[in-house]
Amino acid sequence: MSIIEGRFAPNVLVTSVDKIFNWGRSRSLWPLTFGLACCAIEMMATNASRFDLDRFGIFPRPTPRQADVLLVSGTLTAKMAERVLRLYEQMAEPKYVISMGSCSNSGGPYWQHGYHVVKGIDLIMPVDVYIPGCPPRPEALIDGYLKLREIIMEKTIAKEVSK
Amino acid sequence: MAAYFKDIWIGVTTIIAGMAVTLRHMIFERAITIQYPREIKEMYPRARAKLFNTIEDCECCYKCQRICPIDVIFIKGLRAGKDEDIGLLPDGKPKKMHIIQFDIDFTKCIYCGLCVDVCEQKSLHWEAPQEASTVTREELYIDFTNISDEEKQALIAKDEERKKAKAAMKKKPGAKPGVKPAAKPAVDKPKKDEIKPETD
Amino acid sequence: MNVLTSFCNNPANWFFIKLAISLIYMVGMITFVSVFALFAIWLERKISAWAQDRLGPMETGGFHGWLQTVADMLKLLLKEDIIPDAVDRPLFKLAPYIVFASSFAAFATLPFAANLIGTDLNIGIYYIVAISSLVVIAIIMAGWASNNKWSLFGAMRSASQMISYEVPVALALLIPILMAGSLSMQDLVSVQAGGFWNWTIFGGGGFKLPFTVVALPFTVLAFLIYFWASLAEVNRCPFDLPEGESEIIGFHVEYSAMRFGMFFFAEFANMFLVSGVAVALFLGGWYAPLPFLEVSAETSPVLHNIIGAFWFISKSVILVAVQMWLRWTLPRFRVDQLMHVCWKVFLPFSLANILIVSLLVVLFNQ
Repeated sequence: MSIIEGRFAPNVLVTSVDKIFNWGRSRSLWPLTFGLACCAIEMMATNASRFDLDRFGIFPRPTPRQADVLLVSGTLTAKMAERVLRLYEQMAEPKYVISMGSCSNSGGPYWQHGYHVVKGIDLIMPVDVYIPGCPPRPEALIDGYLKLREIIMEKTIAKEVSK
Repeated sequence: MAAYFKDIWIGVTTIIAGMAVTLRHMIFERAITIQYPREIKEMYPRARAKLFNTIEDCECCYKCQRICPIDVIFIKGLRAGKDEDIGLLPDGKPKKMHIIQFDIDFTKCIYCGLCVDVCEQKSLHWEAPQEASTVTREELYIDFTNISDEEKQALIAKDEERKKAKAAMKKKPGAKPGVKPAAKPAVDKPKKDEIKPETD
Repeated sequence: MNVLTSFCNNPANWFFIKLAISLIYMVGMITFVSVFALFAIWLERKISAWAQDRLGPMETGGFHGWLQTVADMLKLLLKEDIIPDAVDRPLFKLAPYIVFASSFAAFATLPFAANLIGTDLNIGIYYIVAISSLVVIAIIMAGWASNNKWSLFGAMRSASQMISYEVPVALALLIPILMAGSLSMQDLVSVQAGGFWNWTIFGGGGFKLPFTVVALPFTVLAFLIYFWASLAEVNRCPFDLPEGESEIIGFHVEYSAMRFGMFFFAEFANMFLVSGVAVALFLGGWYAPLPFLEVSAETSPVLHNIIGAFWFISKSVILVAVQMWLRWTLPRFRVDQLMHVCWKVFLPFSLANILIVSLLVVLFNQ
């Protein structure tokens, strides 16, 4: 949480500031350079020339301190889950998680008998966007990012009011 | 000494050559980028993008459910009465089953395409585009049936009645043996909480 | 008006007037450096994209994503500022400011135009070389204070690299200094007046036309050595081991939000600085390539300065673009290769260069 978040009641000023802040946050989503399995190949393809995520201002950062998005791309084994969780905790707020592909959505093909696979990363961390596919095409990944943008545009820095 | 100067010479010339290559790409070669949301590349005809079942054409043969390697297709069908007319299949045969559940869990589906291959009526097919990102996991659990809950309840009640009647017929000696009721696979929507990850 | 004139005429008040002018110049310079950094980051992303047949930022702000870096900076300002528990807090907090301050302080003697210079020290170029080495201290501070082994390694690599490469940089800068016979930035620029054939890179800058041909190869060599070694000074590819974004994580691995943004800004400010020094010393400073393209100070002093600043900035931006072009062409050096290039190639060549140019100066320069 940055300093100003959760301090003001929702009013006209806050909502206009929200728009600017959300614009900045949603237009500059830096994912962590982090791939787990075959979905990571598709993630790389999306970053490369043909689909070029840099068009949306999305370019990968190698350290979790400077990243905004944790793109869990692939099968998350129980052993790796600890590390992913640590990376998630090292990231600075506001941070977002995209679950890419069937394996990270729900364990994918290992959902019945995979003794070693985490059955969905939402069991260990909050997920903002789920992208179906095995692996998802680059278009689907870009669509996921655009979905995340929409979600960010609806966020507010105002205090939560009890209705 | 000669090797030293040769190294420097190679260093300088290769840097120039490399810079010429990048300059060529910067100025003369066109970008190959497809600007996705603005221009959409057409999918190949056999691309495995997204599964879709046109429920009107579905025979409810359970073949897809049986072949699915990871069991993510959940079907429940009820046999229609003999005198009931519920439309025709694409190949001209009359439909025999009411489908009250046809779900595919797209969080787990691996898009292998086996179910499409076995579908005789071609009701289960690939559909572009693949983009279907969601905010919750439940949204990816897609129900393809187009009947409402009331209709479903009505169908189930009707089926129960029919079964009772059949059982009553069976008890009477000399009665014709009726058609066996269709095997009802006991599949239910698996709950998320049931499966916990192994922790070490 | 009378009050103002009398205030200005009183010598007792000159100190305050000077202070006010330097404050205004400083604020203007900070604005310029920030705007340039924003532009340069955008340019870097565009050049990298074009070199890879991509498009680069396209969506943010409409035309070719021109608001992309503004969005990035806004986001970095709004991000959580993580200070891990184990860090050395005062050093950790101080390091980004020192990096930015040291690169910014060197802008004081960078001659943007005839009168557009912070202060024309008589040891201007010496000051720039000295003050820009402060970056090393700040980077070691960042690496040490982070209490992270990778950032410490990155800082040590960076320190060894930058200290080593200061030697060829300084030796290469000696060539124009020898030819102009001065350490003042404006003197170094003014010997190159009157067309590109008088620029130091083409053997001018103190020599008259027949002798420039003799000096030409040595000045070009000096420029190339300076340009390459300055790339190492500012941690640019192919010498970007200190950062080594993707493989060998660098000194700012623990920095988040705007503290990281300061490092980012300082890098691009530094790029402009080394390009500006190269332009001032080798490429004719704020003089136009052809004499008729500039306005003389007699006709209009204001226009003279504006046109001068235009030429200076555009030459520097072209050099910055060449640095980016190099970055997206070449792979990264290994540490031993880096040291090899510095001590075994640049150093002997620049020493020999100095010897020859000194001889030429003794023989030909009046």
